[in-house]
Amino acid sequence: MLLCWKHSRLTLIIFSCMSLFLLGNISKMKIVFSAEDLAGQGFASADELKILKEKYQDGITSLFILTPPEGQDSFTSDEMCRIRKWYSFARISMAEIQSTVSTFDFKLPKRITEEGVNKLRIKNIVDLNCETGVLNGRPADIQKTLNDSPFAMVKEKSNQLTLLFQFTFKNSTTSKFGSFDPKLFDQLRLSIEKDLKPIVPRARLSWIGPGDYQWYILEGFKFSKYINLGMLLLMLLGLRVFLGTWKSGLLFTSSLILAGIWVFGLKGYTGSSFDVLSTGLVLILGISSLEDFTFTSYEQLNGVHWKKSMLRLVIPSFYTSLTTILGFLSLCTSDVVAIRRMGLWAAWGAFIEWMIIFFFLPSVLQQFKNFKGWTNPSRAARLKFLSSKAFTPFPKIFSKISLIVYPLAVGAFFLLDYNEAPHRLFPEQQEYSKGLQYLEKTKGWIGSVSLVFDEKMDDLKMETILTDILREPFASSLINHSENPWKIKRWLQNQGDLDELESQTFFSISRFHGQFNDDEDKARAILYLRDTSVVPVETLKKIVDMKCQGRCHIGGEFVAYSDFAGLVPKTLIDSLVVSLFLVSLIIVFLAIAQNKAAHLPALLLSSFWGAFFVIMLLGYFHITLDFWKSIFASILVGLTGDNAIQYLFASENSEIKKGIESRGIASIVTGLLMACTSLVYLGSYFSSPKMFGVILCVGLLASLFGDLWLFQGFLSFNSKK
Amino acid sequence: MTIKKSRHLPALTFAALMLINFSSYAAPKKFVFKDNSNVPAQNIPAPSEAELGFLSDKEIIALAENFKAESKRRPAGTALVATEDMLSKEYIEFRNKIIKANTGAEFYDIIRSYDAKYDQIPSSANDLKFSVARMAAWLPMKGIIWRMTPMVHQVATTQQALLATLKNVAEQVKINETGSHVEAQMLYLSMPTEDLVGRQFHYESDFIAFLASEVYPALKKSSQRIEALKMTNVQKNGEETPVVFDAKIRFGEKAFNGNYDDYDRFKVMGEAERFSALSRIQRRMYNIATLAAYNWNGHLALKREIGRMYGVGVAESALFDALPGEDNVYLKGVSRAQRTATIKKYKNLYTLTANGKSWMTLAYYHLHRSGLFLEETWKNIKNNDGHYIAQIDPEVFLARKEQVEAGVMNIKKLTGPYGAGVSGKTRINGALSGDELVVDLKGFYENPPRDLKNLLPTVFAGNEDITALKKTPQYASMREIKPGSDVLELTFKGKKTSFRNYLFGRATGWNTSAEGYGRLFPNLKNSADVGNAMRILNEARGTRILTNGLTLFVR
Repeated sequence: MLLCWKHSRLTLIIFSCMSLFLLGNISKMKIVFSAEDLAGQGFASADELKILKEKYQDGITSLFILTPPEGQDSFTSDEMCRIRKWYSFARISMAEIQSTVSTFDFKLPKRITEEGVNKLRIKNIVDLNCETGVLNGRPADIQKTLNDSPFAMVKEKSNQLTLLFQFTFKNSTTSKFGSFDPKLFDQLRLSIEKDLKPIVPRARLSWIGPGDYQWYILEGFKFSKYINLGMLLLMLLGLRVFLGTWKSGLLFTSSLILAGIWVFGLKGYTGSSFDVLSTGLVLILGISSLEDFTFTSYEQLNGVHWKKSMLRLVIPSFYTSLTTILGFLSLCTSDVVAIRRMGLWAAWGAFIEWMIIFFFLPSVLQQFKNFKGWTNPSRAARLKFLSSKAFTPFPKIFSKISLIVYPLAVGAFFLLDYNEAPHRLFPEQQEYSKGLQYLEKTKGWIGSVSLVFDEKMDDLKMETILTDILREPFASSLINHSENPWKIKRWLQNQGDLDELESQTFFSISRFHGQFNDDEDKARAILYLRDTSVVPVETLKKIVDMKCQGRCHIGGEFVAYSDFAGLVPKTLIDSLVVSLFLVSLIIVFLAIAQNKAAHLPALLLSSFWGAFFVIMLLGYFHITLDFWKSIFASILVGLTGDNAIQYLFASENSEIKKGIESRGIASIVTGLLMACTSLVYLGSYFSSPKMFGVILCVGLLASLFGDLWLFQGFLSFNSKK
Repeated sequence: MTIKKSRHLPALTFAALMLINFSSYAAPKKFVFKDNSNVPAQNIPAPSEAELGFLSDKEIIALAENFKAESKRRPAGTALVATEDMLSKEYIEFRNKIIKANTGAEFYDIIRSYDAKYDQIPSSANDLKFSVARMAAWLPMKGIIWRMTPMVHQVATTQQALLATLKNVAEQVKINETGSHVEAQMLYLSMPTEDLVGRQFHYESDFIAFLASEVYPALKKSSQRIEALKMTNVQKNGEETPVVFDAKIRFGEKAFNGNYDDYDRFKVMGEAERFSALSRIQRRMYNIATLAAYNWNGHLALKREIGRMYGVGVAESALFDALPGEDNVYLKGVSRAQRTATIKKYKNLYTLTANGKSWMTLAYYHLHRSGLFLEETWKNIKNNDGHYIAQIDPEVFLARKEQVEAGVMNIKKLTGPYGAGVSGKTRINGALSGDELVVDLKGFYENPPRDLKNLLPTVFAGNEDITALKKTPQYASMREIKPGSDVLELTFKGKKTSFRNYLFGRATGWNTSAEGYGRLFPNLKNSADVGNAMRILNEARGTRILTNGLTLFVR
């Protein structure tokens, strides 16, 4: 450090050059958000997604339902003609379109007699003549025909004639967005805004496609920059309040931005992907870096020159950053590549932040000879009123009672609820969520999985297997509807008075054939589910495996998600155990080195109390855990060990109480700032980070309570009072 | 909608020419036979290339850039779905009129009125313009079958064959297209109207003159219009939507299921369809130019005479059939040498007309352009779905992709060279043997033979192929029944038996001078090599443009 300070200009040049180089690499970052891209290797169900898409022409699908305004059982004929015209042009205006389907395209065979001649006609179910503007049949009757068809997409619980549109784009792998290219969807949405909505301005438009889910995730990514901006503003304000100058906030936020460049620039350079978890990286970095800065700043507030405060804090901050880094690195034990990625880059970020604060920042400040520091004690909120309360030990009895958190937390592990669903990533009022709510209300299902037959079978055998599956009460209650080739053929036979050969042929030449049969003629059925959460899908999977006995299996995005989400508790436990172990090692080492080994039990019990308290809350309040929330524990463990380390170093050769008195207010300020910053997540586009922010806030406050008050309480166990 | 779209039309329109190869043995007494071989040929001046006002090669290649722009805007294959909603209201109105036409007159009036107001059709109805541009080529064809009857009646069997074909077609129309507007089209082609009285074709030159002075300009107008057309409907706000063809215009009111997206009914028409239509129109113009270059008067008389030669043999056999004895029903047959000698008697037939050289140069110009449009079409569609390719131009794109690729290459080699001073010499290789042939199609068309009869064979085989077998003991007894006969005799165990040598009289040599095949095949070794040249051409892909015409003379 001193070497850097001595050659501050050289340090500045090297740092600046590297920063500029990495800044140029940020745009090379690949953005991924599909299950197949996120899950990574080792997930059979995620690996299968790509194969399923190719075999059954699934592509990337945007799907929306257009509903007439309240009180109307359908759109007018004129409106339908204009909507259909929009659809005719939209579907051939993009080269990347693989196929399209709408309510207008569904047909059925009918035998009729016209002028004494028997004929077989294949007629659109929505028989709309736009030359004359006449809809053949009442809308309610038309919807009834659709309801009686084997196609789940066009069925409604009521007889209101709604219109469904599905645009499937070719699979493409772009260097920026993995297996999803949002540009295609942008073009479609622009066309809808510009050309479709003006036709029926009062209609309801509900987005429900799997591709739309990914599009909204990308929107969330774009929104994350506002969260990061909010965090920076909050920190600017918070540091102004507690340190007395805007300078302090500017210095800290600048260092954070620089750290961000180093993290994302290196991600771009190394080809590491940006995913849903990465949207919270800046925030987590900010929170974890606050501690170094505030403790250093508080030394200045106590009258220490800024250089001396840095020298004094560099070593303790190294160890606090080390525990933070170890907390993040413990996430690398996860089987989920996105979590491993998050852990690795957060750890790197924490290291870079320490380097910036103690090496780069002083090198910059040294260029200003008259610089005297970035705090102003006369303007800072010193929280002196807390001094007496802060350093009063928590009553022994209550300290002892608080230890119950540990066994309760262990018990809570068995109560953890990880029954998450992919669509719950979005808040209820979000457009996609609202679309799915509408879907559930009007059609009774919210997602689908594929029942894939692994060998070529005749219709009767496949039907028998499916019937067997549906005989299970759970399966029957979960599966709202199934689409399958034999049902479609039977419907064709009944509608058109066709024989078996005719119905087989019509089915083979229809656009649906490729969606149900692959090139080897192995079929699949599509099962439409009332609930796509992890547990029901896992249960269904078990039932299917039992009934299929190797002849078939279920697959699809929701199956991949449930496999992926099934690892959440394991991630939580594995990473928590590893972070506890590693952070404990550091604390033990330091305690022994500082001749404070006697206080080890108090140190360890107080340091981890906050994390276990939160686990207890999650378990007993049945708060659903997803992969976002699964990472909080190890982050918390990494962050909360910091106070203990600061107290150890601050106490030097005297009693540890001296260390608490010396650094106690700083740890309160740090804890408050970190907790408030966590709440910035409440502004997140996604619902999962909102909850994560709350959990982290509660955890940080609980950790502060544990580190400061409970620690003193635990220390008092050795005293006679 | 073109002539090609109706499966009956090729038979109806060009049946006369196709069928005049049939022989005849006697003309019915009520027809007075006229030998037109001394009637002067048509004298229609050939237009210059500048007068035609077509796009230059550079402009065609620049126009082909539209393919790339189109493929970026539209999905391909089965994702390119055309519907009723994409038709302009003007096109719908036109379609409804056409399919409701009951008579030839109604059909003619509709096409004529739209042709007259073609330039007033807005660009938002370019789909209509594309159809009218192509269908307007029908206008000269009014009553064409009726107009041809005096000419065709010169040869009874030609007349009988054509009559049988037409009656069959008419019957098929009534069976397959009953109540549809195709009946009106049939009547349009076969019934006279007041303005056609006195305008029938009596001589071959009348018909050729009609093709050159009426059909050719109609095709020219069609081609110019299609070249200038934008293959999208351009709306008032500048938005461009695809041009779509509705097959109901072909199959009639009762066709299809009445769905807005009926399978096989609606088709998006893009640059591929435009370019291949232009290629085909140029091919038709080439055909007419080639016909207009030569004197065809006497062609029917020749066919009649050759027919009679075949017929005499039949009559002789019928006469001797009545006599007892062993198998003496022998048709003498007509040898190639005899046919060639007969053809050569018609001094004026197949000779270059006064404007013939200009027409032949023009013919090559059309061939070159046809090849260029074809090449650009193929380049831009060859990686598309194979089923779609076959729909664009089944005359060309029905083979496997590799075969089409080879065919297009050969077409480009044969017809690509263009412009003053550019050599047309190129090498073609047979697909089976790999044998090489040097062809100069440009040179041939720029300096055409003054008399196509020079392309007829000059050397004929005798019995030498078979009599060579006399060396073997089994056939040592072989002898000609009489000198110059194709009938030979063998003696087995004292018993005589006769057989016909089918190789007798076959063509074995041709004229290799500049007036013969010398300009077309510059590297001929000897007169027999022409047969070899034809073999290589027949093996190679894409050479039908050449072989179709030559075969008539080589054989």
